[in-house]
Amino acid sequence: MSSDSDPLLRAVADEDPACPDGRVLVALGRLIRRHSTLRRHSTDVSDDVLARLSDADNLESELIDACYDRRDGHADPALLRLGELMRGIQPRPVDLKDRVLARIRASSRLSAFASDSQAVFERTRRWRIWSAVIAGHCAALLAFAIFEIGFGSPTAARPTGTDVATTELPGTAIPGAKLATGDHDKTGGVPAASLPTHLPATWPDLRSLGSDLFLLRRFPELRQESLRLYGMSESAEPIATGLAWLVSQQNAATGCFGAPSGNTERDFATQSLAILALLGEGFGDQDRLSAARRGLDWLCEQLVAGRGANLHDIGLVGTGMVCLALVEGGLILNDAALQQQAEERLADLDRGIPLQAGAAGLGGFLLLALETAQQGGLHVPGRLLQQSRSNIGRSLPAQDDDPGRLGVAAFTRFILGHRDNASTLHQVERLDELLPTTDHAGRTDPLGWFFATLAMREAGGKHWEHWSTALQRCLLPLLIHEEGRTTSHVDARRIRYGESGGDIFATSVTLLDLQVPYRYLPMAAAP
Amino acid sequence: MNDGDIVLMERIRDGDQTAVVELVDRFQHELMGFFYHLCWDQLVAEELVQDVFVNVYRSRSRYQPTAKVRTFLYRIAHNLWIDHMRRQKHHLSLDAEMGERSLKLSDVLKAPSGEDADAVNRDETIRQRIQESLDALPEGQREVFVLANSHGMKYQEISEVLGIPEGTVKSRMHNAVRTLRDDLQDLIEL
Repeated sequence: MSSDSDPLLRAVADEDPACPDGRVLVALGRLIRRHSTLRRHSTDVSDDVLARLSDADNLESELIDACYDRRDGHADPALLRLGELMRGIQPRPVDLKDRVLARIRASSRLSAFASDSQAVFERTRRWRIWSAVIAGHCAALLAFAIFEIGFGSPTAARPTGTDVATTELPGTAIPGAKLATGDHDKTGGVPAASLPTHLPATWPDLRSLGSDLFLLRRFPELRQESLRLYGMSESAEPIATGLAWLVSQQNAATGCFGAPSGNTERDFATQSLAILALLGEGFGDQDRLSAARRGLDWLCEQLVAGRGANLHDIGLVGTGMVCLALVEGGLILNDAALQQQAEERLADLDRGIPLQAGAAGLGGFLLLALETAQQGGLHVPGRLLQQSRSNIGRSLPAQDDDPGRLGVAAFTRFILGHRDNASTLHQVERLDELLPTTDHAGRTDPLGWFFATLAMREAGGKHWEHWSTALQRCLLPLLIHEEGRTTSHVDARRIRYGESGGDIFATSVTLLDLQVPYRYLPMAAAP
Repeated sequence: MNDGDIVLMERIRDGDQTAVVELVDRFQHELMGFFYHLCWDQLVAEELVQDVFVNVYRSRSRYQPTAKVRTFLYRIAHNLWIDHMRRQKHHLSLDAEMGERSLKLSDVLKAPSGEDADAVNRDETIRQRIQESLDALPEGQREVFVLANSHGMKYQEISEVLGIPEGTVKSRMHNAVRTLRDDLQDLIEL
């Protein structure tokens, strides 16, 4: 019996036959239950779902084809937007006509050129080279003369011992660089000259103007003035005597500096550094120039296929040094064969040498070779240049205790035009804390300091003043001046890596550091 | 078929250097776009574009006037890209060594400032997303998509350039678009 208080509900629950409404409701309940139960075999809808998905897929494919293949004007807006997004990223516009033509002409494999057009090309090429040489000289002399006439005697106009940044030479202002006293540099017999005011101050300026990267080293007067402006006049005489010693060490018959050790990497690196030191003096002295030429010939002979030596046998530092020596030699001596050698060596590297960055100029020499070659108009593999830039920039930390590593990083940033970047400034500050000094064994590290010196020169100001002072204090005493002789050299035991390189290596790399004020043109004016 | 292009190629076949210059002028920008969308690197793209024209000159005797010049150029470009990819594999991967994503010096040094900083950052983020999505596509799909989307090529022309059946081009294109649309849904709906 149901206990429900409602009589109707109680009658339905009890199925009371006396209650007609209850019977009706019971019948209704049965009817609903019967029709609301699921059939034992339910319908399989998976086919329908798949078919509908397939329809959607087909519709989507149809839309894609309409948009990208038929292009019938009824494209899906979402696909149009996707296409726009992708097309919105474009490379910088460039004009490659000249570069393609130059490569086609330079390629020795393209022998199909008509012989007469080839002859015309050769004649115009020679004419262009000579025109460039003559124009370069005229421009430099003209600039020199204009400055002399326009500003009178530069040293008379400048107060002794005053910061150049405060004088009347804003274009060549080197903050922190102290002027030498007197009208003549005490170490040389050449009257001091002033640098033209319009010289490019940064690497990007230099590139956009197409300036001669080696302008400062080409003339003794400009070299001397650069040393003076950058406060390194004291280095002039040691550089001259050191270079004289290097020349005296060259085997006149073979062109090799010293005797080959049999270690390919060591010999290539030593030879290249000696050549680079001699090339640092531009056209100043015929003996030096001839020595550099003979040294380059020796290097080229060793690199000729079949002589058992190629750049894949040596490490990245040695490779970079060889390439830089060939590039500088080809451009300074204006020698087409050397330039071709340099281009071929760089092209070789483009075929797979793994690039990396590290201390002591690792990678820096190669980057410098590529940048120099590009500025000098040689063909440079773009991939290699890009890889060299990005790898060096990527792998170097913002803070490091190795001046070599930091120097390469900072100098790379200056080359790329990022002198005001916070990371660059930070690295310069850090280098200022890692000034040149001797280690616990009494050795110095001129190889590691080379790029740091280049970077600090670009930084200028108090940083350069601190660095150059410390650098000279460390390096100048290393040059041993033998009694009664006009040469001086560095004892390999006094420098890092000296034991594997010898005195020629030690002397060359020391001279490279001291030549930094005039090795490359950017005048490193204050930002 | 563009008769002007064929005449140009015939002049190149005869060793006319000025014709090469005209060819470069006509096709350099779209080829730059092609390589740039595959490697995202201006210098590499420039180098590869130069390689295309130098190779065209070297292989000019192989050109058949029945082939479209544009298809001929892109076929060379495609082969150069394959070579480039192969060569990249032999290079030491500093990214792998250092365990970080590929960075370029210009990226590291980039420091936008002032009022435009937000806009620059936003644009850079969008650009980065698009690059990453394209890079994530399988190589075959990426090339098909770039040719179709950025260079307006139809499936048949793409199949001629890449040397694959048209059906394969179609399926690669469908897969590429679907993947990209899913990846970049939020940007598409902006």
